[in-house]
Amino acid sequence: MPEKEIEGRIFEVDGDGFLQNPEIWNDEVARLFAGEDGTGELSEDHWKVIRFIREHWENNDMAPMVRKICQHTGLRLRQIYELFPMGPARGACKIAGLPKPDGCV
Amino acid sequence: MEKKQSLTRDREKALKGFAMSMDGRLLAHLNSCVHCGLCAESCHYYLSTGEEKYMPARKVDQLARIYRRYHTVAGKIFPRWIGASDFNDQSIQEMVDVLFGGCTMCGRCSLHCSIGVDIPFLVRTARSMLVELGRVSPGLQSTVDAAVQTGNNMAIPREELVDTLQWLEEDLRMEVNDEKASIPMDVPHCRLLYTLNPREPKFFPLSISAMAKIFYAADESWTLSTHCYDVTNYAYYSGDDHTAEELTQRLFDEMIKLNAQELVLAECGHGSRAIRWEGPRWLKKKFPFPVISVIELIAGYIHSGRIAVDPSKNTTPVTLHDPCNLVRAGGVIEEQRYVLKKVVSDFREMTPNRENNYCCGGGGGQLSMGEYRERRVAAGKIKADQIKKTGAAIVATPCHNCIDQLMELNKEYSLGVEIKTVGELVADALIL
Amino acid sequence: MAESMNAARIVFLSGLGVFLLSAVYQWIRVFINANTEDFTQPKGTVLPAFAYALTGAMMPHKKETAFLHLPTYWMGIAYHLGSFVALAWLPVHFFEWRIPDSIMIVCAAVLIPSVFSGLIILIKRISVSSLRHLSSPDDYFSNALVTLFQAISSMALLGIIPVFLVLSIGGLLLMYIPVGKLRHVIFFLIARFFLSWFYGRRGVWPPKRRILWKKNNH
Ligand code: SF4
Ligand code: SF4
Repeated sequence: MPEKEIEGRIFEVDGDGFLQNPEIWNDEVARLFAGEDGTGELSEDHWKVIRFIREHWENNDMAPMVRKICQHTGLRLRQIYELFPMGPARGACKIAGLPKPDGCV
Repeated sequence: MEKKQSLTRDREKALKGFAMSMDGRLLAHLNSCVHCGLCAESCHYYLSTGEEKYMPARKVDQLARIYRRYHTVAGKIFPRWIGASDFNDQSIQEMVDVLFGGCTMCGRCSLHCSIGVDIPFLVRTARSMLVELGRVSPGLQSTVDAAVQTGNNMAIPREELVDTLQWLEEDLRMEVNDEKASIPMDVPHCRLLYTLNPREPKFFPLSISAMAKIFYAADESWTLSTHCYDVTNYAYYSGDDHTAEELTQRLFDEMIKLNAQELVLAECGHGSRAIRWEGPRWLKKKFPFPVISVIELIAGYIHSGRIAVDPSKNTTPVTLHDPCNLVRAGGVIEEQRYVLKKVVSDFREMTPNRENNYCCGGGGGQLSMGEYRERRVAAGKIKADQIKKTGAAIVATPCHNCIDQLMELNKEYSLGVEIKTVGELVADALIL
Repeated sequence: MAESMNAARIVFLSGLGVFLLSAVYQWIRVFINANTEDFTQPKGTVLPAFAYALTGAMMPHKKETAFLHLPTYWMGIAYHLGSFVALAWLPVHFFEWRIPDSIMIVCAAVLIPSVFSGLIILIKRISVSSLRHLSSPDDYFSNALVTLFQAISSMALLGIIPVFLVLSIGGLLLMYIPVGKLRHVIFFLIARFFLSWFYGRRGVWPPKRRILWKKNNH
């Protein structure tokens, strides 16, 4: 199992860098992941997206459609792509501590 | 006579499947490689890593050595002499490692092979054997399973799809300022049935909006299906013919059910290839309706004047990445260039291009096989360098799978470009 | 002399027999399993692609394996040319036909660069690690056997070596073709045909560089 070390903390991740034990996720982990993958400082808007994705995943066992992210956070689609340059999947979902979604992402 | 190791039952089954699939084409390709090794520099894996195990010829041998052992006289009597080997733990492990983890089945090697060995065809045949052994990479397998069980490879529930499409439709109406603009769902008797890569509704819907706008501009009679719309077919990649056939059959049935005249494949390289070029073989029948790529459709729209476009609406320099499965293995070669030259004012080819183009590194199902990510990104260096050289700020590519790989390359190699579908650029250039 | 010649004739005939039987067997096998029914909607045609595969696609400026390795490419061409010339002489030797000296000298002259090419290719296979790891004993043996056959052929043409030796080595070579990599002699055209089918049907070969607009266009 690959590991990822950020600021002295070691995380078990899959090959794509998605967290292997989603239950250890917390705000601190999100901050570390965001710093590591180039998303940078997390703003209020980032948090809105991350928290919504996380909540949706905890309740429904899957990442939300980007439409839902927009509707629940009040952000526009293009804003989401700007906030997370790696996109909602490899960017936002990864920071929110979700496992990697299937498909072309 | 060197005694063969005894085989477990699933290995026997895999070998039997291999023997069953041995038609003239497979026989020819299995028996032709001369180990000249000249193909090495045609493969982006070898070029970027220099590791011998990635040489296309070595990949040919992964399967050919099994063939020699079980299907040739010499291989049965003195296997070592001709490099034949048993189908054992070691050879299977190497197949998994290199044929799943080190080949995108891009076919660039075959185009240039001294002989003309269809290397990706052999790689896929070997993958089919690994299917029997349950050795498909878990990420790839779960993508296939999601498609089989839920009807799309990202397991999107139908209501969620419908909500998303309605949301996009509202946007479209606002954008074109016409209450009658629409994204039709499940409408029978349309001229076109359009398909989607599930990645579009789930995370990247701008490409759907773009196509809807183009259809609106062309005043097209089209529809999406909310039951069966997935253009991808990851079973093509995993080597699982049985499932590949089933997925194709579903789309086929949906066409018949909705009574559309043409099936239009979204910007998806492997999906286009699977449905158009492999599908009829899986279903063992001719399709009674034309199957075309949306790129061919758009080129036709522009050529016939059905839509009007203005290149001065896209002034940023644009380059084009040719998806292997659409171009080298699909023959859609000039259409995307024709379209881009009409909709952007500064179009730049990367070299090499067209059927000689390098794979981005994301093909072959690599994007779903996380365990090989490092290799995938390393192998993408060739593509990253190609893009840098053009100086373009936008990379257009008619394949969602390529887009995702290019997005990663963009970050890993600090390219500072934007990645778009061809449709998005066309939509931006539309004169309504 | 006549006795060794007759023995050589027998070796040659057995070699030819083994080669032909094996070739015919493989061709029939490919043919009856050819699976020629193609249900796809074509974007191009197969035969022009096959013609292109044997001409344009083999040209060094089109073929990357050639233009990245030009010396090897030309050595390969010389080597194959030499093999054809040497093989073509076998029936001549067999029947002891009389051939003008000038032709013999031209052929010997073709064979000399060919032998050197064969040797260099062999040395390359031994010394370059990526090729060595790709090779089985058969790869070296086949290369050496063909080179030896060419060398002996050229020497026989120059009258240095008795003809029965060429005939015997030629017979052994023919016998060995079906065993290892040399079987590409039997399969080359077929493999290239199937690849042309693939690229031809899909409209990739021959390269068109233009769009064939359909009449009832969109
Ligand atoms: S170029 Fe073709 S014949 Fe030569 S080693 Fe590669 S696959 Fe084999
Ligand atoms: S198909 Fe592509 S990735 Fe696979 S060996 Fe050939 S060039 Fe390399």
